[in-house]
Amino acid sequence: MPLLRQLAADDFRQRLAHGKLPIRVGPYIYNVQSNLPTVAAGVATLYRDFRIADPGEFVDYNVAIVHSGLLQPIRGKAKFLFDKKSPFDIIPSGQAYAFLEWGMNWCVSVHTNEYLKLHAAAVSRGDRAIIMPGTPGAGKSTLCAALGLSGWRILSDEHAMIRPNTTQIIPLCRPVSLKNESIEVIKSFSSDAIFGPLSNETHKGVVAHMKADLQADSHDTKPLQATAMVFPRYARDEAQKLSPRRRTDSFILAAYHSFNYSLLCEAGFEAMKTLIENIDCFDLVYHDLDWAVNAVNDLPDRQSGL
Amino acid sequence: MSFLLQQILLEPRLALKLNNDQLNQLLSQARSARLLASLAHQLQNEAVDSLLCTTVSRHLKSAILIHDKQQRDLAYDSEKIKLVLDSISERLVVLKGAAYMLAELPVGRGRLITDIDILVPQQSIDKVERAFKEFGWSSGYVNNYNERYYRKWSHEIPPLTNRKRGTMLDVHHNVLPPTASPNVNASLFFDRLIEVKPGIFTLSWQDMVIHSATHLFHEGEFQHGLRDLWDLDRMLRDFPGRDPQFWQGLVSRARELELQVSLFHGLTYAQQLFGTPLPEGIVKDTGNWLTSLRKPVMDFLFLRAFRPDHPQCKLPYTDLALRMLYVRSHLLRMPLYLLLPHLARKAWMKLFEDDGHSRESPKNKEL
Amino acid sequence: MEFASLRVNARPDCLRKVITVTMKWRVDSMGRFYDPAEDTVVYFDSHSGDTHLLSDFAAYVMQQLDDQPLTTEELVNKISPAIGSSNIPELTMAVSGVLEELVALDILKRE
Repeated sequence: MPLLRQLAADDFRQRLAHGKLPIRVGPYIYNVQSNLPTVAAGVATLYRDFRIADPGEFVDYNVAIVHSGLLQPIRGKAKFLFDKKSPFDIIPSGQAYAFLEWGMNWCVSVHTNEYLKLHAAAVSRGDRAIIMPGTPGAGKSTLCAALGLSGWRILSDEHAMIRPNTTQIIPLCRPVSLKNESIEVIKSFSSDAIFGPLSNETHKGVVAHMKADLQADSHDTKPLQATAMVFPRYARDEAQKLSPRRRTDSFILAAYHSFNYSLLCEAGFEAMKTLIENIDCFDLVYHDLDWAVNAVNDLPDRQSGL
Repeated sequence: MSFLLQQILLEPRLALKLNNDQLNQLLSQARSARLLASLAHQLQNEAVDSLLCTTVSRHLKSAILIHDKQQRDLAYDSEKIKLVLDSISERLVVLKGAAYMLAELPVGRGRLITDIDILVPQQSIDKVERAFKEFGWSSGYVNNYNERYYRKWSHEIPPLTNRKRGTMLDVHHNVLPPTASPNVNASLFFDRLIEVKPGIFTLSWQDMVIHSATHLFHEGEFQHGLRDLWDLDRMLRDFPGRDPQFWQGLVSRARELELQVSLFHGLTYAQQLFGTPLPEGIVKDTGNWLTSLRKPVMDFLFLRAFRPDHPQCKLPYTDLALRMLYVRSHLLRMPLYLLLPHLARKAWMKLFEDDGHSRESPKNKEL
Repeated sequence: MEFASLRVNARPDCLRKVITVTMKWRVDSMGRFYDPAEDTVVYFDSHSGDTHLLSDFAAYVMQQLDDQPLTTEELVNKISPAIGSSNIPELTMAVSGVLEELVALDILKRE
């Protein structure tokens, strides 16, 4: 299986335009299609180290961002397509790249249920793997990006996928989505940050994506054992603190931030229970990113779970 | 010309002969047609799913999980709905998907629903709505125009949502709007209800088939067209075994309800797409000279509409067919003098609002 | 909405109105507990599919109704020696409060 960057530029553009670009992302294969130059540039930058699946392999998700209709390129409009159908409204072309990434997230959020899926980032280093559930605006993506630039492996920015009745996290590494001020914060944090196209005036403001697969083992598919759950919260005017969080509270909040906890019923409860009782839970209040990275670095070790 | 989903629904074991590309297309068509869980059930019934690779079967299992959760929620929600209706001495009569699932019918296996549909007598509609509001259900924001449409011209009130659980409830007092042709006498349905669980009723088997056919052929939007036809096929294979008189009474019952044209279309297209076994001559009995005359046009329209909205399945001129059917079905619901201002109004509203129902909308343009 | 993230305030010193009832209480749901010995307990209600955060006292009261329905008085008499409280009026107030909350969550029913 070649890496995307090993394709000749013309070959890459042709495959992308005709929807013959199956990219392996963790346990899944996305077939990606686009006839927009910004999207081609974004994919070429952010997915350059991802593997192209072999022709005979089963594709899980067919996604596309395309101009459709004769007037759309002139009007600056595009559509996100899943299985060739448009689940969302028409989008301005300037937001196309963001919608490709959101659309790829949506595929996993809505359609996969073999794992307990938390709306959380997940990072690992050595034999430690940390899950960071996030309320929107809490700063989990910013912290995730900073950790990725500080030697941690990013397992996922958006979906912490837990094998039921274990503490195993299934890696699903894709670019980290950053918004508004966070983009500049991360650019200042490290010059190693590599960004894709900027999407302006989305419903979340300005959005850009950072290349997340910066480690040699970023595309390993082996599951990692979770050792801790950290609930980050960015708070400019509060004292920075890392403090233990009660397990029952953590259970409820993690379940609230899950895509399919309720759907799984008893199996969801048992999966969350197994996870929480075998890891340590913390609250992390921060306003200085360096401080937060160090706090995560210094998390006490724990015996591995199941 | 058959398409992949159609073939595999009818002969699940053929799925074992598909390569990965074809399996991807199959799942894609099934999702598009809202039939993934039904397909998964068909494959499970024939023990095919366990022979497929896990990369494929995980998608099927996922769809079944969603269906199973809906089934559980439906069981709980229907108890709560029954409490509300009990408080005003009205029976709980469920329709469509919720009915199939609560009655544990084969047509309900793998069926996905977005809301719960119930039927109440027209004279009780205000009392019913008040009772639900007292029990914590609300209408959400419906702009004035849509509110008027519902009250005056529709056969249902604006959808109700349970504030605690998020469940959506559609309360119908008929199967077709009062402005529709034909004008259906809904009280006839109440004469033949079946109690499928203690205190939970559905239409009779014949009425369920007729209702499903009517709903499909009077609808403006065909995203669920294939799914609805699949429902019909499943029912027509199952109900004769439950009621030996099923076929004898079906056509005359449809005539009594003045819905024989819809039944005609339902039987015709179920047989054409899914090979539904029908007794000799029943299609002829249901039809008349007018249906025969219209048949080539209807075939053109409906056979295109029933294919999944998916490039691999679409026949040429499908978009034209869908537009014609949308106007046809609105014509059936509303006479022309009401229809044109209504469609114009809807188009205008779309420019300014998300939809007329649930979102907070400060704008309320009056034409 | 699936969650009542409810911290049921049911310590013996709570000032709830006493509800004198002679009817019995029974558990209306099958469910599972996650009890890591903190002062709250997670309860998954299989009937509704909801997940609740209950005080440990509320979870304890629920568990006393596992075998059979009881009146408030029977409950209080059962609990009192176990938790070492002999202040029956105060305990009754606390138990009544918890019972009402659990009914509101659809976990208990009066019969």
